[in-house]
Amino acid sequence: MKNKITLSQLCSICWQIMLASSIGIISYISINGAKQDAWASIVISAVLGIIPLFSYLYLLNYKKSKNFFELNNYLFGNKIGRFISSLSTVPILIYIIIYFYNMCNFITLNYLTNTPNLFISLIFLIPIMYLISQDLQVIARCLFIIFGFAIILHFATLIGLINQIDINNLKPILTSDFNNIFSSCLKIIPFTVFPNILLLSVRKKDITNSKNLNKCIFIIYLLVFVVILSIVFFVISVLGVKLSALYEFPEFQVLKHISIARFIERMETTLSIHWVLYVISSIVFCLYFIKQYIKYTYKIKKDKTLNISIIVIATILLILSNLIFKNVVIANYIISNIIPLVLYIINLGTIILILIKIKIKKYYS
Amino acid sequence: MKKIKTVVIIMLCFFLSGCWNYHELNDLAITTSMSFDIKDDTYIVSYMVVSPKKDEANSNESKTSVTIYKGEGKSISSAYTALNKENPKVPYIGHLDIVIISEELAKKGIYDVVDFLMRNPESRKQFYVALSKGTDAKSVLEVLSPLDSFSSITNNQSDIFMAQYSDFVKKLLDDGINPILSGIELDGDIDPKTKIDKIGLFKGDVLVGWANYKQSIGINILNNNTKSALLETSCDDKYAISTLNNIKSEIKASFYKDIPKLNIDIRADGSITQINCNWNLEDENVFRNLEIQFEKELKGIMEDSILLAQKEYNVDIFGYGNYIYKNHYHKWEKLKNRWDDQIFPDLDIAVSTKINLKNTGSSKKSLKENTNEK
Repeated sequence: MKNKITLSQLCSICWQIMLASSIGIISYISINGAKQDAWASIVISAVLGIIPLFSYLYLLNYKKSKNFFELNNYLFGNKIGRFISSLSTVPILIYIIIYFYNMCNFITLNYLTNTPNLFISLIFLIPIMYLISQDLQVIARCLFIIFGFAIILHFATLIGLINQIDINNLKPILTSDFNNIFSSCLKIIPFTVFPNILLLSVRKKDITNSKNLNKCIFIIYLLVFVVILSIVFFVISVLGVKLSALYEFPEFQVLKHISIARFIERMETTLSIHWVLYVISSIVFCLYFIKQYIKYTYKIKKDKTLNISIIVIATILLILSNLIFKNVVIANYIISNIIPLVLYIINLGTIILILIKIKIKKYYS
Repeated sequence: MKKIKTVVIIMLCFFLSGCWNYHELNDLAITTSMSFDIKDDTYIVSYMVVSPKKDEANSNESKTSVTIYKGEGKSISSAYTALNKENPKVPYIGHLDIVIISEELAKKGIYDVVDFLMRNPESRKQFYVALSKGTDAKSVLEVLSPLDSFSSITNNQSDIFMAQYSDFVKKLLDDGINPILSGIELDGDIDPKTKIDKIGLFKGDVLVGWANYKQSIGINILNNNTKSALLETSCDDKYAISTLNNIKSEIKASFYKDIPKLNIDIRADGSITQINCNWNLEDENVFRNLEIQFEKELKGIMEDSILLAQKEYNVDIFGYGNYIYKNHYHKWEKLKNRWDDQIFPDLDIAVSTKINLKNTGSSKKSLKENTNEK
């Protein structure tokens, strides 16, 4: 019973892991690449992203009683299965490093300018560690509460910014080079759609009311892209393209414009909290994926050993995030140019390999 | 194990109670206004700090409750750092209301100031920016309203538009538009008051000239920065004044051989505020005649403002280039390299005005006309 999760909880997790990169990364990639046509790159990425999303859903539905790692072992045998699982975990490690860096950078730049990144990471690491030591049910419940809280903040942001919109800032429409639009669209997919691989760490049989699973996940997928589109729309229509491209976190700067009835102002800190919560949720679920990987690939059953190994991994990743991204220039270059390529090769590579194996298996059986 | 957990949690409460940025409110110098001057290549940065304690003690007196600090340096950052030698508290510019830049500094270029304010994470980028005209910026900062203990500048009731920092930077960065900033003058030698009735015209980040009061009103209307204005016209060697409301300026562009022609259509509602001649306002023809008089007057102001920008300073402060860029992108691609030097100075701009006089205020007739009847 402890590993049971409801469909709504799974959808809330899907929402959060897809939106974890919505601050700092997606707007940076789309606005710097496609300029005022950033919305177009997001729409195209939503269309193209359906392919990997359906692949993940196919794998989730394929064997109801097996999670991703058990499925790999079942399809490829222990040795190759272990290798495929290990390879699939690499992007998750990359996500954790990026999330840690992005969250700390956001907090350092906007809230706590004098506080070292490592200290901020440590503060967040404590609740993350506590949560990851719990079972799936507790994690899912916590993330569901965060989801509810974030939705309220999203609506508050929407209401606060609606009177600040200047549609003229979105003009001229579709004048950017198509190559730029397409390249930023390709860079968006690894940060929005690919994290859905995390859902595969849950067995379908552990999801209660899983009858409408595909439909619900697809609706969440569409809603997430609507939210991403609205973020980019608000950023560009309020700040203008050139000013948005100038800021490190334009999503935060745009929140400074919120003024409800001219007396509810200075809400940016409160409203931006949900982004931090998304990142925490995503890190928790990434670590849960790694925990499951260790559990099923190396057959470690003891909770204590698992928890200690997760703490060690998370601490190493936290330190790595500070070492790899030495400064903002390096970080922006790596995140927008190198990491999408790595994620494509590993993530798509392993998924295609698994799908081919399934087809072969079906063909011979 | 439980004991260890409890001890760790209690310990964490002590270690994680604060962070590097932690400051007591008493230790903060809350800055409401800043000024930037330049003198012999040395930047002078000043800020006005609110002194809450002093304000409380002197609540019944008209004494100031603010302190002004000044720092000098070869760069803005070094001047800002030098301020801290005087100020015992930590400056906090999160509540900044206005930044005043001296005319002298603006003539040299204000990228330094803009960049400094942009990078400072504490600054909210929602404050006003203005120029000090004919005096240094710090002197403007020192002038306080007798009605308020803080600087009255941001609460100004002047009909001259005051630009916000983010809007100014946006115009500085955008294609086909040059920014403007309102100018603050000091009126009177003894007990001077602030006066805002001129607009400074920029080419990029450099101040190139000033528009007078009427031209400034015209610039505001053409830029859709104001919804109301006061308009004066002559009648029988005397004058009539109307308050214009719901002013709207619309641009339409047409092209002949890729050269644009702009039609500016200005519409407004009006009400008569004052009339000094003995015209019969109940006569429809007289009323329409007055409307035409106001329309001509408004058109004259608009054309004067456009001529100033086009011919005198050659700065596209109305964003006509930006309009073409946004609405006729492919034409703009052909024009953009010639816009500033060749196209904008000779741009054919036709202004049409339409004023709809809605009422005559509380009085139906002209007072003069009634007096004559008597």
